Amino acid sequence: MRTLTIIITLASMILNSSFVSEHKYYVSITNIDHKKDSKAFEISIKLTAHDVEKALKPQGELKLGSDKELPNANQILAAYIKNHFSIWINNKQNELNFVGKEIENDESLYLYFSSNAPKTLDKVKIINNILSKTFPEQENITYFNSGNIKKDFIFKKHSSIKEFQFK
Amino acid sequence: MKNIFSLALLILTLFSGIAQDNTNHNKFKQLKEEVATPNVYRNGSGAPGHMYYQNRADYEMKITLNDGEQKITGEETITYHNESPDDLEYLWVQLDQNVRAKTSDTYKIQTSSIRGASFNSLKRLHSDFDGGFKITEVSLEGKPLKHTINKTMMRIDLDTPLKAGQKVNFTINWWYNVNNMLEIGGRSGYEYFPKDDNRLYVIAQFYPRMCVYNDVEGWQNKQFLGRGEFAVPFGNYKVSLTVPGDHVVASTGTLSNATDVLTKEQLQRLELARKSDKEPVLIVTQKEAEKAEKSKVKSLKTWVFEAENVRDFGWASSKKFIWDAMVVHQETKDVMAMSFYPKEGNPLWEQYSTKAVAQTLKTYSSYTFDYPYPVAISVHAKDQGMEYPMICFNYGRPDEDGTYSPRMKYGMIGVIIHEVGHNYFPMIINSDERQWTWMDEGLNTFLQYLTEQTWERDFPSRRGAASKIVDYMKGDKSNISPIMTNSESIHQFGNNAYGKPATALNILRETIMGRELFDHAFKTYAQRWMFKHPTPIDFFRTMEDASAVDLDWFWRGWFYSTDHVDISMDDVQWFQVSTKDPTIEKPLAEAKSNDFPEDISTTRNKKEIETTYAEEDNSLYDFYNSYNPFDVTDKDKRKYKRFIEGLNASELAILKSKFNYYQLSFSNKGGLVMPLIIQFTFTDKTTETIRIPAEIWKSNNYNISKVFFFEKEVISIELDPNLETADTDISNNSWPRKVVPTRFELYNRSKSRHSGAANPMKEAQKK
Ligand SMILES: [Zn+2]
Repeated sequence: MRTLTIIITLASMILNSSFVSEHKYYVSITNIDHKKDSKAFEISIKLTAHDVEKALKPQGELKLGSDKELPNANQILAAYIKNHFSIWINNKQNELNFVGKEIENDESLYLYFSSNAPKTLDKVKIINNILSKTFPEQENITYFNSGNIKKDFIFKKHSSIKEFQFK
Repeated sequence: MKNIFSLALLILTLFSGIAQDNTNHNKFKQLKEEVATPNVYRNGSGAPGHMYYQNRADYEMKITLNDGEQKITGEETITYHNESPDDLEYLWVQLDQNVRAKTSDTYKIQTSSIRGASFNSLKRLHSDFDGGFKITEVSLEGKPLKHTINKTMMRIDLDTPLKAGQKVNFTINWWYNVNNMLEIGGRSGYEYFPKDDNRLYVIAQFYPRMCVYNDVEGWQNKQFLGRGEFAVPFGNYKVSLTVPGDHVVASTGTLSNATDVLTKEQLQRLELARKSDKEPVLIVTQKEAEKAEKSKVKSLKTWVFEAENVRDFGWASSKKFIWDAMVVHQETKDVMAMSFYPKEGNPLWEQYSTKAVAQTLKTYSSYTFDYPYPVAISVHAKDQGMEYPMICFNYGRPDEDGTYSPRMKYGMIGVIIHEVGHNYFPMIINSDERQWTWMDEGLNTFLQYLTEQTWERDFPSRRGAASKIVDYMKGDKSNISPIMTNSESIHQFGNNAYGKPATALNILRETIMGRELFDHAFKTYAQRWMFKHPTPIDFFRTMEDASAVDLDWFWRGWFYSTDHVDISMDDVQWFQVSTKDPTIEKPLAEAKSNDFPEDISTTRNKKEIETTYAEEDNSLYDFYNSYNPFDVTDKDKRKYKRFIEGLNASELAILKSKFNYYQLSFSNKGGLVMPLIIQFTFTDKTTETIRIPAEIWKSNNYNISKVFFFEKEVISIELDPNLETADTDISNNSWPRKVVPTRFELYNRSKSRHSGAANPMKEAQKK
C-alpha cells in the first residue's frame, strides 16, 4: 500500500485507523556543515514536498515545482523554516539566509540556507520543530559536521531542542 | 602489594568478561540459529516441502451498494476446505471493518497528546461515524452458529470439528456504513464530488474473510491494527454487485453477465480492445461519463464477477467512470489491461494509466512468471494507492485546468506500477503481510524500480538506487529497526519496509550476485511460491539454493541488523621490489637517508657549537669517522652475483619487471561487511577496477589489508567509485583523500540549472 497524501493534520492521532501507508512516517533530513575557512554554516534541508504543501496550506496553495507555484513561495518557505529551525551559538541566535530550493520529481524538496559562524565553536544549540505541529509523528534527523566532528540528532515534537559543547 | 595485584587481576578478568562472551559473533556465522529448522512443509532448499498444504476458502456473495445512505449490505456463503492434516474445532474469520468501530483498539493504542492539537484533529476525535461490521447472521444450513467477536476477529465454533480433508459451508450476513475516505481516511471508502453531487466508491475489506491456517502460525489471527496488512487464503469467488443502474463497475474477476449490463456498443468496443495492443480503446468515453454524471436513475443493476484462485476481492463503482482497455500479449495467455477514472483524472489518466498497467505486467512477468489472471485494472482514487487481486486504487489528479506538475505525473505512474505490481507480491506469492511488510512491499518496490527504469531513462525513482538509502541507514540507531521486525513495530515504515529491502535486493543483483545468478534465483523463488504462502526464510534459502552463493552474512547484516555500510580506506603503502643490486640500492638508500628531516637540535647546534672537541683535536677521529655505509664494496658485488645466480628464470623476470606493489588497509566502521570495489587510476590516466567479494572480511570482520601490483604507477585509488554499496561516508573512500561536496555545495555550483518553478508543459501551451 502506498499513499501520496493522507488526510492529515493532526490526523494520525485518531485517523491512522486503517489508512496507513508507507508515508505514514514523516521524516526530514537536515545537514549542517560548518565551514571553518569561510566562517559559515551551510545548511540543506530535505523535506517531502507534499507534506510541506499541506502544512503551509493556510498561507496558500504553494504548488511547488509547477507553473502555478505561488510567486512568493520562496518567502513563505524561508519564513516557515526560520520560525521552526534555528542555530544558537553561545546563546545567541544565528541569522539564516535563504539560498535557494530544489524540487525533484520524486517528491523531495531541498531548501538551502547559509549563516555566519565563528571559526571555532563553543556552545551550540539547535532547535528544530519543522512540520511537527502539523504531523505529530514528524521526526527531523539532523547531521552536524564540523571538521572531523560529526554529530547526529533526532528532533521530535516534544524534544526539539539539542544543546552541545565543543571543546 | 599482593592485594593490589589481585585487585588488578580481578578488574582485568571483569573487563575481559564484558568484552567477550566467548560465543561466535562472526558476521559470516551461518543463520541456522535464527531460522526455523526445515521440515516436511518447508524444506531446506527454500521450496515447499513434500507435505506442504494450504486451506482454501470459496465465496459466493450478494452485495448491495446503497448510494443514498452510503451503506453496503452483504450475504455470503463461505465454503472452507480443510486441506491441513489437523482437525479444526473452530474457524477464525477476519472483520477488518471493525478497525473503524467506535470501540476499535486502533484508536485506543494511538499515542496522542492534546498539546498542539489542531481544530481539525479535535473534530475527528469527536467524529460520530458509526463504522464496523454489523453482523446479522452466522449460520450453517439455516441453524445459527455459535460465534464470538474479538475486535477484528470472529471465532466460529463448530458443533463437530472440521476433519482433515473435509469442507464446511456456512453463511454470514452483514451490513456496514461506508466511510468518506477524504474525511476520515481508509484504504477503501468513497469520495464525494460536490460539483455534480456524485460519489466514487473504491471498496475492499467489505466482507468477513477467512483467516489463514497453516504450519507456521496455526490460525493467523493477529489483530488488524492498521499497519500490518493482510493474510488471506486463496479461493474462488462468485460475487454479484447490485449498484445504481447508471454506475459502471470495475472488479476483481471476469464479468460473467456482460450482455446484461453493457450496451451493444460497449461490448463491441471491448472486442476491439481485445485486439488492440498498442493503444487503449475507450469502452466508456468521457462524453458518455459526463452525461451519466447528470442522470438520476432510480433503478438498480446487478453485475456478476467470477474470479479463480485469488486471495481477496475488491471493486469500484461510480457513474463518473470513463473506462479504457487494451490487450497485453504473453507467451501463455493474453491479459486485458484496463483503467477506470472520472474526468477529474484527465488528461493524465487517458494518456498513462492503462499503458502503465501494461508495462508493469510485461516487466514483472519477465522476472517472475506470466501474469495468470485475465485482467489487471487501475482505478482512480484521490490521494491513495492500494492493491487487491486484479484491481488497485491509485492517485494522480491534475489541476482543474488540466495541467499538472512533473511530480504528479511521475508519482502517478510510479504508484500505478507499484500497486499493479502487488498482483505478484503478495496477491500471487502470498506472503503474510500481517507479520512481514517487507516481504511484499520490499520485493514489490524492487521490481517497481526495475519497471520504472524500463518506462523512461532516468525515471525519478524514489527508491532502489543504493545512494538513496544512505541518509536512512547512517542515522541514529534508536530510530531504526532491522527489516526482520513485525509490521506493527517498525520505525520509519517507508524506509524500513520499502526502501531498505528494495535497495538490498538491487545491491544483491548488481554487486553481490550479478544479474544472471540473481535473476534466476529470484524467479525460482517466485515460481516455487506462486499461489502459495512463503515465509522470509523460504526466500532466503531459495536465493542461496538456486545460486550457490552463501548469503547468510548478507541476510544477517541487511535484514537482521541495523548496521550500516562504512568502509574506510585507511592507508595505502607503495612498494617496489628491491633489485638487490648494490650499485642501485645503496645510492637509493643514501638518498633516502639524506632525505630524512634534520632534528631541530642538530640544526641549531650547527650554529651554536662553533667547534666540537674532535674538530679541534683531530686525534679523536678513527676508521669509523671516514667510513660510508652506503659505499658499494667488492663484497657487496660478490654477494649480488651469488644472489642472481641462485634465481630461476621466473624469479629473475619478477626482479626485472619493476612492478609497483600497493598495500591497502581497510577498516569496517559501519558494521556491514560488503565487497570491495576498488578503482585504480594510473599516471597515464587509465583506470582498472578490481572487485573483491565480501568474504575478504571472513576471518577479520573489522580490519584487513591487501596487496595489489601493477606495472604502471598508481596516482589515485577510489573505493566504491559508482556508489553501489550504500557507503554512508565516502570521504574516507579515496586516496589521496578527496573532499566530497555537500548537497549545498552542489546546489550552489549549479544554481542556474534549476529555477524550481518550471512547468515546461504550461509554458508550451502559452505560446
Ligand atoms: Zn505497496
